[in-house]
Amino acid sequence: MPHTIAVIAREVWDTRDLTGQILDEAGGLRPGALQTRFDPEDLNALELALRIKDAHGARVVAVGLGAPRQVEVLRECLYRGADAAVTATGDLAAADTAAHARRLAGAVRSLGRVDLLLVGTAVPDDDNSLLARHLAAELGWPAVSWVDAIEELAVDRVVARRAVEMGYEYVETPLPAVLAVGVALLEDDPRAPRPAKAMLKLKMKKAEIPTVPATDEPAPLTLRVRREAVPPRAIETATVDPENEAALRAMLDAALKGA
Amino acid sequence: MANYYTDNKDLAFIVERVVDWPAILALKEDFGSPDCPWSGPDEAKATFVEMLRDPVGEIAANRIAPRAEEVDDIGCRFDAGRVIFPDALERNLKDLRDAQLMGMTIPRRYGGLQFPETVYTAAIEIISQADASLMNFFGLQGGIAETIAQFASEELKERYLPRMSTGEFTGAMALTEPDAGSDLAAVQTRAKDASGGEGIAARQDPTTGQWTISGTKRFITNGCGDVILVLARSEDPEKKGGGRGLSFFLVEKNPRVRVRRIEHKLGIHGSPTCELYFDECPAWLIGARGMGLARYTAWLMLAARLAIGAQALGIAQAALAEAEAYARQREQFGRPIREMPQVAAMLADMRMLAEAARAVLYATSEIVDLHQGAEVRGLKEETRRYGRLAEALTPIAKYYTTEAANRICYDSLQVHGGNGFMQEYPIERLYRDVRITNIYEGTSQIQINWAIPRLVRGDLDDLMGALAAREYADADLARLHQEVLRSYEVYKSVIAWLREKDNSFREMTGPQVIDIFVEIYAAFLLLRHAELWDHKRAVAARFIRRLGPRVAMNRDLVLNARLETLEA
Repeated sequence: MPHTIAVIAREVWDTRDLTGQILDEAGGLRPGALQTRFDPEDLNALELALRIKDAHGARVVAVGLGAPRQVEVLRECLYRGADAAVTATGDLAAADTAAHARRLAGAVRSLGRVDLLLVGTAVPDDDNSLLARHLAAELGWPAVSWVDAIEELAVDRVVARRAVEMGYEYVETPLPAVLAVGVALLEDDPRAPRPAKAMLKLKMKKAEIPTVPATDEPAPLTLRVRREAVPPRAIETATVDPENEAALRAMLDAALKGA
Repeated sequence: MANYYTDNKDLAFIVERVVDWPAILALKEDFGSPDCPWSGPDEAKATFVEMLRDPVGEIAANRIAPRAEEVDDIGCRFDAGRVIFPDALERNLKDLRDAQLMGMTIPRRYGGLQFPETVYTAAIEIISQADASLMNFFGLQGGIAETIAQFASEELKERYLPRMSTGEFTGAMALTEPDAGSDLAAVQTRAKDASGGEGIAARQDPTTGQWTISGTKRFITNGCGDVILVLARSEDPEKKGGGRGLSFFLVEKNPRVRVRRIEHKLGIHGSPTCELYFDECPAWLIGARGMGLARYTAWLMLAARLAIGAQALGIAQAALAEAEAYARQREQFGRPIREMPQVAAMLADMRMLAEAARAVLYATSEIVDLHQGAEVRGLKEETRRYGRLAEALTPIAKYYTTEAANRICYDSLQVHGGNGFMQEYPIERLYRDVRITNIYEGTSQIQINWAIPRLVRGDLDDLMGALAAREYADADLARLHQEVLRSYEVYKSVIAWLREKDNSFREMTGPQVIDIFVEIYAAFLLLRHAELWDHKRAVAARFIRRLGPRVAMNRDLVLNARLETLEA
């Protein structure tokens, strides 16, 4: 029986090529100033899952969290060849990684038998690279970090490869297991995760994504998070004539005094 | 990550704001039918845009472009009768197949996406920006499959189109022969001998009805492909000579068609150019006998010319991006060279020319779509009207985009200075790759000869008249429009004068006349675009500032032209 692989797919702020003002005067995020994108490391995790599917045959299920902002990451997973997608709901505004993990673990459990849970290592949002660890704790499964490739996959175990200083480490673990996928997956050509498949995109563009509601017993928050914005620092600038020694000296004095 | 669709703001503007999708889709789709995947034109357009972003733009920028250097360096090899592709090309083809893009315009009932030509044109531009040679697989597929879909028997369609949609089969078109290049009507009467005769001839077995063809074809792009469309002489030259004796055939790759050699070329090293030898090779007739050149080759050429225009534009876009990036980071005399007035002017002209060429190409592509749509619907009047426009505009668009792309690559290399001459920079490859675009699928000179009689006949007068009659509420645009109208009057007087001249004079002055026409046409289009996007105001203004002097110069060259060779 082929493996079932769940992959976490997160939508994160796109912090590349930032231009213009993204923060308002109070230091908060200006609505609409930032776009979102498919978390690039989760995309790597999806790519690894789809490579396993190509090589061994597997059922790949993408698992998302919360309502989409701009990018429909779960549908994007379907376009690339994932077999199904589910999203976990719940009030997530104030939740931390542990609470996210609890909700996601609930969604993974709802899928029935799952052999592997893949997740990107670090994400630009609220990043503490601990989601995989929290998921493993919630599910009671072993976890391997910084996985670059799957060396061997059997019915009941997996050997994962990861790069370490001066070489590679091969970690064997029984299934089910959580694997946090590193960034070295795409070192060989192709250097980018696979794109969408055109026919699948036509077929799946209206696919319903089932939601997994929060379980009856709400997960207790393990941490309370309060956010406080740091107001942007005002910087005064001045230009002095580089030929004018007195002016230069005065500027240096002022700077040193300020320090 | 880079994306060759979203990063190319001009292309995205044309696709998302200029192209009249509802008009195209009204002819090409039956909204509400179970076969149609969209509820209406907005949803269809959104899908086209999404597809161009991912997979097309994504795959081009992040998978194909990084391999372009390797494909060019290694190139295709020929060994023991087999054409061997570089690994990077095999990976590119696999990516295109995996992304399910090989059947972009093939009807849905044969497993294709059935997208309009205009989407395909954009996709070809994007893929060519990444690797021009790959376009000869991706961009050739459409024209060949569409020809089969349009004219072949249902049996042939069922047999070949599904496998072309998946990319399992790639296509080639075998038209050129050693003595029949631009002049296809000279395709040979019969094979001279079985060992190495030139020319190609088709014979039908009187009992079985099976056709066989024999002879040599040359310069066949992807001649090692699986489905080869062959133009061959099938009629007795005594009864039906010239083009009327030629028919169109389909040949599936088999031991009786052999690749004899592949060419060693200046550019597009990732595209094998084969010499094919057909040895009594079984073939299937497409459509009616004797219509091979006039109907099917002409039809295939319309699609192929658009595709080559898009290929050229893709290369130009790559060259422009390379020049802009280089001029930003290269410092001389203590500042980036883009700040030097001459370099700044070259960069602005390259961008302007690319955007003018893009305006013309996509306007033409839209008309080709309208023509195809009208033909499928059986609308006689519209088919005739759009057909006339498409037949006149397609060679002009091919000529203009490919010549502009050559110019842009030339200038981009110049901006790179000595570095541009070295293989370390991609412009060296782009400069070599672009050179074929104004030669194959009809040289610029052939395109001009094709277009000139149509201009003289007035086939584009209504189209230009409508553009000239537009009114602009914006004062700046209205003033620019007046300037274009002055040039338009010059154009009309040149055409009127040319009507009195003989054919050889018209052909000789063709380059100048077509330049006058196409630059005015581009100016009209850029003005329309300027109503929609502020950036285009500056582009249109720059273009139109030099339009008057250029039109006056070309008019004077036409008036003073003389047929002479000046050989000592």
